[in-house]
Amino acid sequence: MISVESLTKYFATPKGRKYVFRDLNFCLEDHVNVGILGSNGAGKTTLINIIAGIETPTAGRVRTTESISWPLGLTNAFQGGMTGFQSARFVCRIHGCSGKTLVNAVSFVKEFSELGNYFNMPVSTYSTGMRARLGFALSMAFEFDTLLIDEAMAPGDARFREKANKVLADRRAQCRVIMVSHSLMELSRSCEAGILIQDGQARFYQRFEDAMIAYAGEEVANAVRNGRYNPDKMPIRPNRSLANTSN
Amino acid sequence: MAAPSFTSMEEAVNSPPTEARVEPFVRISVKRSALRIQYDVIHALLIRELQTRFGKFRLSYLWALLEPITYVAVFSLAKLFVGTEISGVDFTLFLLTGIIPWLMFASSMSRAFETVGGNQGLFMYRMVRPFDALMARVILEFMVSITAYIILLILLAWIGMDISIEDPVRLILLVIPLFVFVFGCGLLGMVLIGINPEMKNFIQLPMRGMFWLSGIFYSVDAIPSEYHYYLLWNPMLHILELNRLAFFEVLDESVVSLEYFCLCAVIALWLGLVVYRANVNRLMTKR
Repeated sequence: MISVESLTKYFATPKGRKYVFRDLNFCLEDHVNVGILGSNGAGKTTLINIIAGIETPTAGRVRTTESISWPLGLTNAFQGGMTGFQSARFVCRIHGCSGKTLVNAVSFVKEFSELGNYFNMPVSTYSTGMRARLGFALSMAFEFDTLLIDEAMAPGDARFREKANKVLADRRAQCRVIMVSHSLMELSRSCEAGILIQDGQARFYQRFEDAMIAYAGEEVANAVRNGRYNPDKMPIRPNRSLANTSN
Repeated sequence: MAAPSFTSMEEAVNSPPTEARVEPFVRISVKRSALRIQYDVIHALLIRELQTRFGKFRLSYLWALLEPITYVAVFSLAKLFVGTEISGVDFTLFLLTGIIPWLMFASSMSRAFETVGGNQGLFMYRMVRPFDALMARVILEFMVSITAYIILLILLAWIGMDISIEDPVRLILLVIPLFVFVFGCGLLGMVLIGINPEMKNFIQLPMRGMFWLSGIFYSVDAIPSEYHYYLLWNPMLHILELNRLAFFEVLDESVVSLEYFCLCAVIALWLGLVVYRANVNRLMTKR
């Protein structure tokens, strides 16, 4: 269970406080997947980072007894000078694993990431895709209670993606996912609950659909439900009136 | 290389769990105690620092010895032209006992300044904090300096110098207040520079001055006593002299005080922790 208690976050800017959200409260039961919605720059990543424990809220707190992953996404969680091998061992160590488990986990990462000789070269020599592959393989070596996914997952070419998606599907059967994505289709398929961040406010919705309606309007929500949503033809127009009513 | 392409998770959601499941290898234990986590993190960071420090260049182990040797050589040379003898004190050993603790302080400080930038990617893991990164760096710096100290002392003994230590236990125990002092100062420097990189110049300037005023190549006895009042505010002067007192009996013990240095160490640590606690979030989120 993850419980978020009167969470408030603002950034101090020269023009005063810029609120990301104020007094956000919700409680997630086990196996409730959550999709975070909001336009670009609304603070989705900030919320993910606060849940991940790498940013601190201005007020309030996140309480949990679960193990929560680091935010998996495009920002890379590696130090350029370290090799893939060293990074993998480092991440294992800080998660309290050693000895045989560590060796197994690292060989899994090596095999799964398909980096070959690059595995023993500094991460700074990797392409973005290779880094993402290493990050993905690494996160799959662990069994978290909650996976935090910031933007898209499953990197690499088509063949790697297929393999990655299979593993990801396996993992998702066992753990909760809190995810940020720009694809409404993807979110509505996988999420039961939703959080909408808009205009310095965040609201928690028990049903993801309600969050989607508030975010994108009835029309888009219907299209998503029917699986006919095309973001190019149907731009999102935030539905302010609904966003401000209680769920 | 090709730009990365990221796909939606639709396939992942739709595909049923595969038959040959890839089991995760590590079950995260949430039951680790706070101290255990701290230990794991500092241990991992220490190994990481070792790898980046000594893995890069082939001669990197040698450089750790060469730095103090260079100082000793340069000042010994200078000694040929100017300088006075202190009877019963060998100048090479005298320099070495001054330069090593100074390097422990100075090179730890310059490493502390780069701690946040050099570990930014690793702060994505919630248990890794700038505090741990600095702790690992200072521990490594001390380990390197102490190893160099021992090797160089053995080297001096081997070429026939008398390196008998008057008070070995005291010498070893001095490492503790020095560590506290260096870590506190490092914390302070790391945070101030993390907030405002321009602070680096303000911190480095007095450190340059301290190099000349810390008694690396002279003893406190050599300072005219009317200046003692001003110069003895410098805690490094105390620790360097205390370190020497463990080697040389002939030096005057009365002017320097271990209590004063310990007080400075505690104040430095306290200040460092206060500033760190107040600003750690700004250090972590600056990307």
